[in-house]
Amino acid sequence: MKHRVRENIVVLFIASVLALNYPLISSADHLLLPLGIPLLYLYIFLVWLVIIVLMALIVERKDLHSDEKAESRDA
Amino acid sequence: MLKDWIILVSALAYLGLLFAIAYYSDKRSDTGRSIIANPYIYTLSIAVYCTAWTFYGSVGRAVSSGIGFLPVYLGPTLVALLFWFVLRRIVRITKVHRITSIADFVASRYGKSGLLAGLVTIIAVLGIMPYISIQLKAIAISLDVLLQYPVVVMPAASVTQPVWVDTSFYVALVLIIFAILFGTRHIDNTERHEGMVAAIAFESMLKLLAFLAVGFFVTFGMFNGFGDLFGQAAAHPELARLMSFEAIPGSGYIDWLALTFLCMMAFLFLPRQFQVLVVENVNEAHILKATWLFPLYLLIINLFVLPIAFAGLLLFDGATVDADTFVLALPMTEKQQALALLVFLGGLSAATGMIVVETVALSTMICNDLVMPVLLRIRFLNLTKRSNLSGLLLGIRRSSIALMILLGYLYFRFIGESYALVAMGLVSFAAAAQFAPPILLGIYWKRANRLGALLGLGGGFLIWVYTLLLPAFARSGWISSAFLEHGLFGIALLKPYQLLGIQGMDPYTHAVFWSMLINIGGIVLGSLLGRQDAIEQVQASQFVDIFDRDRHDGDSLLWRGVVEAQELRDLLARFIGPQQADKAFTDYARRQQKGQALQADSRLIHYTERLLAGAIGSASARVMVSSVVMGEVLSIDEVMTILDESSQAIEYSRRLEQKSKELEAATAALRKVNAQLQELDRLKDEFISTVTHELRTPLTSIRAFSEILLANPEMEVAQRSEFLAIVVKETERLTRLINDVLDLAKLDSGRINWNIDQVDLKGLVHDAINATSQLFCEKSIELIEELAEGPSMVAGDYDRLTQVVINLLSNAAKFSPEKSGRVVIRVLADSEHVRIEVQDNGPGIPGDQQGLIFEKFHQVSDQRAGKPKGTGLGLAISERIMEHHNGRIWVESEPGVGATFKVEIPNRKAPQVALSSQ
Repeated sequence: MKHRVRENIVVLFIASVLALNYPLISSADHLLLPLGIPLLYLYIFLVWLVIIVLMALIVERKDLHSDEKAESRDA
Repeated sequence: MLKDWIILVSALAYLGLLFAIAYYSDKRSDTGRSIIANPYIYTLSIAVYCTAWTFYGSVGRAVSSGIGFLPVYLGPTLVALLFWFVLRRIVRITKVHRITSIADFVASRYGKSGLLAGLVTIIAVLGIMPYISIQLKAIAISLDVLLQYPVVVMPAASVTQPVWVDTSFYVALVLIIFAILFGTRHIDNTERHEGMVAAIAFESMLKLLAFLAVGFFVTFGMFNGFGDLFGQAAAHPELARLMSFEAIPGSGYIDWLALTFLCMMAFLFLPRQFQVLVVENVNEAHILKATWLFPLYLLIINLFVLPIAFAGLLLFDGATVDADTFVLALPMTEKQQALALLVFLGGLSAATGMIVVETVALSTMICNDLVMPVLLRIRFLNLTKRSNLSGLLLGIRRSSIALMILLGYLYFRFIGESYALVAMGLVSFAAAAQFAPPILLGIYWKRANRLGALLGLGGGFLIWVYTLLLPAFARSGWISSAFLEHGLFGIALLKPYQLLGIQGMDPYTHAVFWSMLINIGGIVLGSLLGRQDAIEQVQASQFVDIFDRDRHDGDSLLWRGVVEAQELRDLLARFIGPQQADKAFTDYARRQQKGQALQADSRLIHYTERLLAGAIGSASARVMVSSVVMGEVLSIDEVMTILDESSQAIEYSRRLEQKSKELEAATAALRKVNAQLQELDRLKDEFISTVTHELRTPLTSIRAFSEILLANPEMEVAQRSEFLAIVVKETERLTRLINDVLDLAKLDSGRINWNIDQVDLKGLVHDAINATSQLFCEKSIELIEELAEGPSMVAGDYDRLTQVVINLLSNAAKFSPEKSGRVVIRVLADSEHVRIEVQDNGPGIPGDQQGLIFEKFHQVSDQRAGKPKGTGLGLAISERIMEHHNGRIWVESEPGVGATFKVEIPNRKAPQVALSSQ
C-alpha cells in the first residue's frame, strides 16, 4: 500500500480519537436541540459519519484495489 | 392474537432456515463457488459483534446513562480504522502458521507454549461465561414477554422458579443442540466454517432490519419524527439529563475514554470476533472494505437506540417495564403483532449468532489447548497410538459446547439476574481485553517473551477476577460481600472497587485500569528480565517479520529426526481422516519434486505439524509430531547460528565484504587500464615526436640542396644533377616514410582492408625477389633461394605478405656487406605452419636489441652505416601484419655472423583467418 494512504489512515485515526473525546466532545455538551436533535447526539453521530466517509474515500480508490490484488497474488 | 404456537414455530422455523443457508453455502463451497468470498459477507459476519446485548441492552444502558452505550461501538470503529495495519498482520500470521484460535495464537507466538494456551483458554471460558448468559437471558426474557402478548408483563426471576418451568433452561437446551449441530459437523484442518459464516451474515442482516423497523415505527409511527420525540423528552428534567455527559456514571469523560479503550482492546480479541475476523477470513483484501463498511453498520444499528429509549421512558413512565425490553415492549403496546415477532426473531438472531460463533471458537480452544494436551500426556490412555482420533475430537468439542452454554445458564440463573445486560457484557469485555497486550506486543515487539506473557496474562486475569468476577459473586450472595465493603481481610486498600484507595472511577474503568497496568507491566518487565529460548526466538521473529520474510518455514529447521513419510501420513490420518491426509500428502508431493518418492525431511515434518496444528492446536501438534519423530530439538546455539538475527547480520556483512572486494578488484582493473592508457599516450607522444624528427631529416636536406641550387644558377651541370639526385632520393624517402606511417596508423586502428585469399608463398617469395633484385645487383650480393618441396598454401592477404617479405629482403640487402654479401631465402613447410626465413651475413643484432627492433622507429645503431637506411617502421609494420595472420615474426642472430629473420604463418584454410579479420 502506498505510503500516503498509510499516513492518511493514521492521521484520520488520531483525529477521530481527538474528536470523540474530552475536551473536544465537551464543546457539544449543552442542552440544545438543533434540528430537534440533542446537540451532543448530533455531534457524535455526525463525527462518526464523517469518519466513515473519509475512511471510505481513503481506501476506496481504484488504483489501491488493483495494487492490493497484485500484492495478495504475490503473497 | 399472536398465538404461543406461532411464536415457537416461527422461532424453530427460523433456526431451520439458518441450517438451510449453512447447508447451501457449504455445498457451494465444496464445488468451489463460495458465496462468502466477498467483502460484504465478511463485513456482515464481523457484525456478530452486535449481540442481544446490542439489540436489547443498548436501550437499557441508554436509559440509565444516555450516550454511555456508545463507546462500545465507537471503540470498534476506531479499531476498524487500523484494521489494515493490525488485523491484516494477524490474519497473515494466522494463515502462515495455521492458527485456529486466540489460545493457539498466543501459545504459538511465545514458543508453542502449552501452558500459555491453557491459561488463555481458561481466561476465555471464564470471561465469556457472563456474555453467553446475557444471550440466554435475552432470549428467555424476550420469549417470556412475547408469550404474554398483548400484555406487557415482566417475567419472574428464573432463580425463583424450579428449573423445569424456567424458560431459559429450555432455551439453553435448544441452543446446545443448535450450536453442536451447527459448529461441529466435521473436523476441518483449517477450522473454517463457510456455512456458519453465511448464516451469521444472514442473521446480521435480519437483526439490523428488525432494529431499524422498530426504530422507524417508534420514531415516525408513535411520534412525529425525531424533533417531536426529543422535544417531549427534553421537557422532562430527568430525561433531559440523559442528553448530556452528566448521565455517564463515575467521572464522565474519564469513564467515556476508559470504556472506549476497553472496547478497542476487547473488540479484536473476543473469541468470536477473532473467529470471524481472522480465522474465517477468506482474502486479506476484504479487510480493506470492512474498514469503513463495518463502522457504517455500527452507526446504522445505533441510530434509533436513543429514540427508542426516550419513547420507552415517556410511554411507560415508571419502573413496571424493564428498559432492556423496550425494543420488544413498544411494538407490543401498539398491538403490532408482525413487528413484535420480527423483533423477537431479530433478538434471536443476535443471540444465536453470538452463541454459535463463540462456542465454536471456545470449543476449539478447550479441545485443542486444554483437553487434548492433557489427554495426550496421560500415558496409559496411549492416545498417541490410537488409530482414529477424529471421533474423540468431535466428542470433546461437543461436550465443551454443551458445558459452555450450561455454565452460561448457571451464571445467568444465580448471578446474572442482579445485573443489566450491558453490565454483564462489560465483565466479559474486560476479560477479553487481557489478550490484547500479549498479542499486540507480540506481533510488533520481538523481545516480548513467554515469561512476560505469563506474568502479564496471569496478573491481568487475577485483577479481573478480584475486581469484577468475585464482586459479581458477592452481589449475588454466593460469597460474603464483606470484602466488597471493607476490603480483603479488612484491609481498606484491597477494596475490589477501590484498589489502593483510588476512587472516582466506576468499577469497569477501575478494573480496566488495574488489569491493563498489571498486564502490560508484566509483559514488559518479564520480557526485559527473562530470556527467550530457541523456539521462542524463531516464533517471535516469524511473527514480527511476517511481511518481510520470503520463506515462512523457518522453524522446520528445528526438526532434525528420522521418520518415514508413511508414519507422518498415518499420524495425520488419525486426526483428520485418511482421505484428507492422503489428499494433503498428494498436494504436497505435487508442489515438491514431481515423480519422486516423498522424502520425510524436516520440511515434510513441518508441513505435517502445521496441518495437525489446524486440527488440534500448535502445542498439541508439537507433542504428537515429536512422538513420531525421534528427533531432538536443536540446541540454542545451533538455532542461533541458523536463524538468529546475528546470522542475518553476518550474512549481511559478508555480502558487504564481498561487494567491497568486488569494488577493489574493479578499482585495480581500472587503475591498470588507466596506466595502460597513460603508457599509450606516452608512446603516442613519442611516436609523433619521432615521426616529426624523421620527417625533418629528409626535408632539411631537400631544403638545403634546393637553396644551394637556387643561390648558384651558375653551378656546374654535373654538380647540379648530383644535388638534384639527392633531392629526388630524399623526396622518395619522405614519401616512403609517410606511406609507412599511414600504413602503421591504419594497422593500429584496424581500419585497413584485408583481402584474405589462398596465397602460394613460393610464388609470393618469387615475386618479392624479382621486386628487390635491383638492390642485390647494386651491391653485388648473392641471393640464394631454397624452396622446399610440399604445399605452401596459406590464407592471407597477398599484397601485405609481399610487403613483409620485401621488407625483410631489403633489410637483408641493406645490412649485408657489399661484394661479399650472401642472403639466403628459404620456404619451409611442416604440418601446421609455413615458414619463410631470410638469412644474411651482415653485422648481426645484439641479443638485447632483438626484441626492440620490432618497435616503431627503432633502428640498430650502426656506427659504420653512419645514418639510418630505412624508415624504422618496416619491421613494426611486418609484425602487425603477421599478428593479423595469426602468425609471428622473430629474429635469431649472432653478432658478427649475421641475422636470420623468420616468419611463420599457420597452414590453415582461408575462412578461419577471414573470421579473425572481422
